[in-house]
Amino acid sequence: MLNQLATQVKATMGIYEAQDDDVYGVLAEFAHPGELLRAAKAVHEEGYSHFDTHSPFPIHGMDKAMGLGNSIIGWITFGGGIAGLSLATWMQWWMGEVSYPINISGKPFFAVEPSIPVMFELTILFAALLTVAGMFALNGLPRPYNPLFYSREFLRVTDDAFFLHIAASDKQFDMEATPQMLADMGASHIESIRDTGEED
Amino acid sequence: MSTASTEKTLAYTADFHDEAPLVTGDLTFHDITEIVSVHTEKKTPLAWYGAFSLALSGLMIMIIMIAYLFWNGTGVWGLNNPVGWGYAIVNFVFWVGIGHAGTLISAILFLFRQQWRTGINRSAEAMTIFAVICALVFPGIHVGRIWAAYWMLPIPNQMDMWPQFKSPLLWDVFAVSTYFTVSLVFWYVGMIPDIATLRDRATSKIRRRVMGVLSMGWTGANRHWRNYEKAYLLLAALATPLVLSVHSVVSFDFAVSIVPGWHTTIFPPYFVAGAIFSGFAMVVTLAIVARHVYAVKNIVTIDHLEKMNIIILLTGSIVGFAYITEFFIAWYSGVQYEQYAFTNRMFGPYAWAYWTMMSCNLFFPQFFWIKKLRRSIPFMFVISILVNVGMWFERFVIVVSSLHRDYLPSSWDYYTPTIVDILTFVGTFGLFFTLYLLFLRFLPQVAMSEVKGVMPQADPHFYDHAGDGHVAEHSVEVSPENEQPN
Amino acid sequence: MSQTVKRSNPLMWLIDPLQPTASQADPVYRFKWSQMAWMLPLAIGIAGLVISAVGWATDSRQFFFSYLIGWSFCLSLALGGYFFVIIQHLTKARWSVVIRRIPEALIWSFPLLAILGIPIVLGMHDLYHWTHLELIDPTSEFYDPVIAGKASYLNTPFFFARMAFYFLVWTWISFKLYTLSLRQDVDPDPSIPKQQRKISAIGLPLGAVTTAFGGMDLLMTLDPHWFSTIFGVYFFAGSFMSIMAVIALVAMILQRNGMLRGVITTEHYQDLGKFLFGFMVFWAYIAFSQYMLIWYANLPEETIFYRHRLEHGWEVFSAILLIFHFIIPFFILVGRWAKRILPVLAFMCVWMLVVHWFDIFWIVAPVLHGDHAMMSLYDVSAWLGVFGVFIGAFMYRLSRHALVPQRDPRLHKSLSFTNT
Repeated sequence: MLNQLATQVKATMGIYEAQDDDVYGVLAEFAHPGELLRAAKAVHEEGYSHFDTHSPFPIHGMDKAMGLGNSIIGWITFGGGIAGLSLATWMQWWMGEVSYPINISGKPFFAVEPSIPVMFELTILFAALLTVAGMFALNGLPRPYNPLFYSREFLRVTDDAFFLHIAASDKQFDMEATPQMLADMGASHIESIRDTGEED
Repeated sequence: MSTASTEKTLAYTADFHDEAPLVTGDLTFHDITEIVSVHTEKKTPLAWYGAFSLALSGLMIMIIMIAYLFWNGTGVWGLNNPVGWGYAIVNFVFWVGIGHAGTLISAILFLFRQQWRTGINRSAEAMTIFAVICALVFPGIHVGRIWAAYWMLPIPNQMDMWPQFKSPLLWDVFAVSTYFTVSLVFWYVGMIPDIATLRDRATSKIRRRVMGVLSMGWTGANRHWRNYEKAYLLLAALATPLVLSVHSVVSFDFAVSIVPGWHTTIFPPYFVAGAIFSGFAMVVTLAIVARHVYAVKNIVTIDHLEKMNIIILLTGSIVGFAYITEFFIAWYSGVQYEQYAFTNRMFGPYAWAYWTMMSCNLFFPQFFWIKKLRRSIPFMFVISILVNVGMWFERFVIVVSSLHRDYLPSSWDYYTPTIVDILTFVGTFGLFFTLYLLFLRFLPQVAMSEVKGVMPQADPHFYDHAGDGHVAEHSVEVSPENEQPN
Repeated sequence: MSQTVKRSNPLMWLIDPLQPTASQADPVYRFKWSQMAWMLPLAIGIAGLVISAVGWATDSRQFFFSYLIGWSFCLSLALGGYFFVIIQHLTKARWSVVIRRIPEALIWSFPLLAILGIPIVLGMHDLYHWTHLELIDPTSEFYDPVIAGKASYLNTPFFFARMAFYFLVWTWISFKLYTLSLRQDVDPDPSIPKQQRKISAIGLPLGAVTTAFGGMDLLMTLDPHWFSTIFGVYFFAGSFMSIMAVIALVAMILQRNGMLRGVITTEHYQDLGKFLFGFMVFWAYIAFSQYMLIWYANLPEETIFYRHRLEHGWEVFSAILLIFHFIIPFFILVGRWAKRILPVLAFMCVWMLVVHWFDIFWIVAPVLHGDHAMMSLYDVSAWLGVFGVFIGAFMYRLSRHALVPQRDPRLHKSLSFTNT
C-alpha cells in the first residue's frame, strides 16, 4: 500500500521502476519540437501515463499535450511566504517588546511601521527558498543515477535532440507494440533502455 | 469569426516585421551550444591569465587594505566629525546599485515577456551576485569592532541582547542578505539545464562528475520543466518586489533621518531608478567587452545593446527628474535648512562633484535619443562608463555634501578620503573582476536553454506548414473555446 | 490628415476630433449597441451634476471640494490611459493591441475635462488656502511667512498658466495618439507605427513632468504648508492602477453586449489583472514609503498631513483605505483564478475604482472637515456627475469608430496571444 503510493509519487517525478529483465523503457528520438509535441499528444491519447518528453528547452503546449495539469508549486511558495511573515512579525515583537525593550528616540518598543521592511524581506526569503526546495522535491532532484544516461544518443538531449521515453512500468507497455507505435509516429531512433545498475 | 474581411486586414498585417531577430546569423540549436560551451572547455587562453592576474592584484590590494584597517581601526579612513559616513557607505550603495540591473533583467523583464533578455541575463545575474559581494564588504569592515560584527544578526546569546529592529541599518542587513541569497538561488536554478549541457559534453570523467553533481541529474524532462518553469516564474515574481525593496531599504538608511538633503520621501523610488540606471550601464560595459572577446555577437546583438541604452536613457531621465523635484521641493518646503543643503550642493565646496553627477547622469545619457549614437559601440562604451562615474558621485554628493555642513557651523569641515579609502575602493574592482573572470572561464555565460527557447524554430507550430520554416501567420483563428461565456 | 478621415466641426471637436469611421470598420470590430451606451451614463452624469448644483447653491464650499474629488478622479483615469497607450507603443507591445482602442478613446477626454474644470476655477478661493492674499501681506494679522515664501509659485495667475500648459501638453499628445491610430484603421500608411512611437517618446517625459506637477498643484497644495517629493509618483501610481480596471470593465461591458466576442479573451484579462495587481502593490509601496519616512522622522511640518488624517474620526477612513486599497485586494488578486474568472475580476475592477476615488477623497476631504470626519452626499453626486459625463462622452467616441485598431501590424499577435 505504502509502496504503491511511493511508486505513484515517484512516477510523477519521472522515476520509474525497471521491469522484467531490467527493462526500464523505450527511448525514441524525434526530429524537432513540432514532432515531439505531436507524438506526446498521440502517446497520451493512446492511454499511456508513464512517459515523458525530454528536450533542451521547455516546449510551449507540452503540458497540455501530455495531459499534465498546472503545477502546484504556487501553494508551496504561498506557505513559505506566510511562514516568513509570521516569523518576522513574532521575532520583532518578541525581541523588541518582550525580551529586550529599549527606548530609541521615544518610539514605541514595537511598532508596525519600522517592522515592515524586515517582515517583507523574510517573507520573500522564505517564499523563495521554499519555492526552490519544493521544485526540487516535486521533480525528484537531485537524481544522480538515471538509466536514461546509459544511452549514448541521450547525451544530446541537452544540446539539440528531442526524445520521448515510455517507461516499462506503464500498464500498456509492450516490448513489441510500444516501439512499433513510436516508429509509426516517425521516431528516428528507437532504443530500449535497461536499468542494469552498472557504472559506465 | 474569421470573416473574409478579417482575413484581409490580417493579411495586411502579416508581413509586418519591425522587430529584429533575437539571434542573428541563422544559428541552429547546436550552434548555440557550441558557441557558448566552447569557452568553458577549451584551453585557457593566455589573455585570460593576463586579465585574471590583473584582477587578482586588485583583490590583493583590497585584502591588504582591509588587513591594515583591522589592525589600526577606522581612523585610517578620512572619516571625522561631521562626515562620519564617507567612502564606505558610498561604495556600498554604489555596488548594491550595480547589482540591481541583473535582477531587473532576469526577473522584471521576464515578467514583462521581454525575450531579448535571454541573451544577457545569465551574465547580468552573475554580475549581480559579485556586485553584492563587493557591497557586503563595506558594512562588514565598517563596524569598527570587527569581532562583534555578528551582533548584527539575531543570534541567541548569553547577554540576552537582541538587534535593534528600529534601525534602518539592520533592515539593510536583512534586505541585502536576502537579496544575495535569492539572487544566488535564482542564478543557480537558471543555470541547471546549462550545466547539464556541459555535463553531457564533458570528455573527462572528473568534469562529468563535477558537472553531474552541479546539474543534479537534469534530463530536460517535461515533467521537470513544468515545475521548473513555474518555480522560475514565481522566483521572478518574488525577486521583482525584492529588488525594489533592497534599494528602498538602502535609501531608508538616509531618508528616515532628519539630515537636510537626506530626508525626502522620493528617495525610495528614486534610489531604485538610479540603481537600475547604474546597473544597466555596467551590463553594457561588460557586454561590449564580452561579446567582442567571446564572439557571442550573434547572441548579444547590437539590438540588445540598443534596448539597454534605451533603459539607460529612461532611468537616467527618471533620476534627473528626481533631482529636479528634490530641488524644487526643497525650495517649496520653506525649510531654510533644506534650501541651504541644496544650494550648497550646487554651489558649495562640493559643487564639482554635484556637476559631475548632473552631467554624467542627466545630460550625457540624453544623447541616446539619437538612434545612431545608441547603436554606436564606442559611443555607448564611453557613456556607460560615464554613467557609473556619475552614479558613484551621486552617492558621494548625497552622503558628503549633506554631512559636511551640519547644524553647528563650528564643526563644518571638508572631507577628503585617505589613500586607504581610495585603494580599498579600487580593490573591490579587483574582487569583482576576479569573480567575474572565474565565471566566464568555468560557467556558461549565456543561458543556452533560454536562448534556444526563444528561437523561432523552438515554437512547435513553426513546422506546421510542412516545415517550410515560416510560421503560419494567416492561420490566426479564434477558436470557440476562447469565446467568453458571457 | 488622410483623405478618408475628416475633422469634426469645432464644437464636436471637444468630444471627438474626427468624423465617424465606424462604417469602414470590420464588422467584427464594429460597435453594435444602441444609443443607450452613451446616453445612460450621460443621463446619470447630468442627474449627478444637477444634484451637485443644489450643493453649489446651498453649501458651496462643500460642493467645490466634492467636485474637485470627482474631477481629479476622472483626470487621473485619463492620465492613466495616456501612460498606458504610450507605454504600449514604446515597448511595441503585442498582447494589448486588441484592448488599446479603449484607452485611446479615453484619452481624448482632456478638452472635455478642461471645460468641466470651470467650477474649480470658480472655487479657487474656497479650495486653495494660498489664494488668500492676506496671507502674503506682511502688514496683515494673518501673514504667514511660509506661504509668503512660496508666493512666487503658489499664485493664481501662475497656477492657471501651469494648468493651461499641462492641458495643452496632454491634449496635443492625445490628439496625435488618438488620430494616428484612427487613421491607421482606414489608411494603410506603413509609417504610422513609427510615428506613434515617436509621439510616445515625446509624450512620456512630458507626461511624467506634467502629471507629477499636476498632481502636486491640484491636490498637494490644498494644504500649502505640507510637502512631499513623492507626491507626484503617488498620484501616478493610483492613476495607472485604475486604468487597468477601466479597460477591463469596458471590455467586459462591450462583450456582454455582443461585441468583440472571441477577440478579447481571458488571456488579455489575465494580463490586465496582473497589471492591476502589480500597480496596486506599487501604490502601496509608494504610500508606505511616504508614510513611513514621515512617521520615522517625525518632523511637525510633515506629520501634519497624517495627523489630520489620523484624528477626529479620519483614522477610520485611513484604516479603510489601507484595508480596502491594499490588504484585502492583495489576497484576492494575487491568485491566478481571480484574474481569469471574469465575474471576480469585474467585481475587483469596480472595487479598485471605488477605492481609487476613496484615495482621492482621503487626500482632499480632511482639508475641509479637519475637525470631524464626514462624507457628504455631494461627494457622491459630484463624483457620479463628472464621471457620468466623462464616460458618456467616451462611450459616444467609442461608438463612432472601430473597437480595435484593426490594421495595427501587431493585431494578429494580439489575437492569438496566450499566457504561458
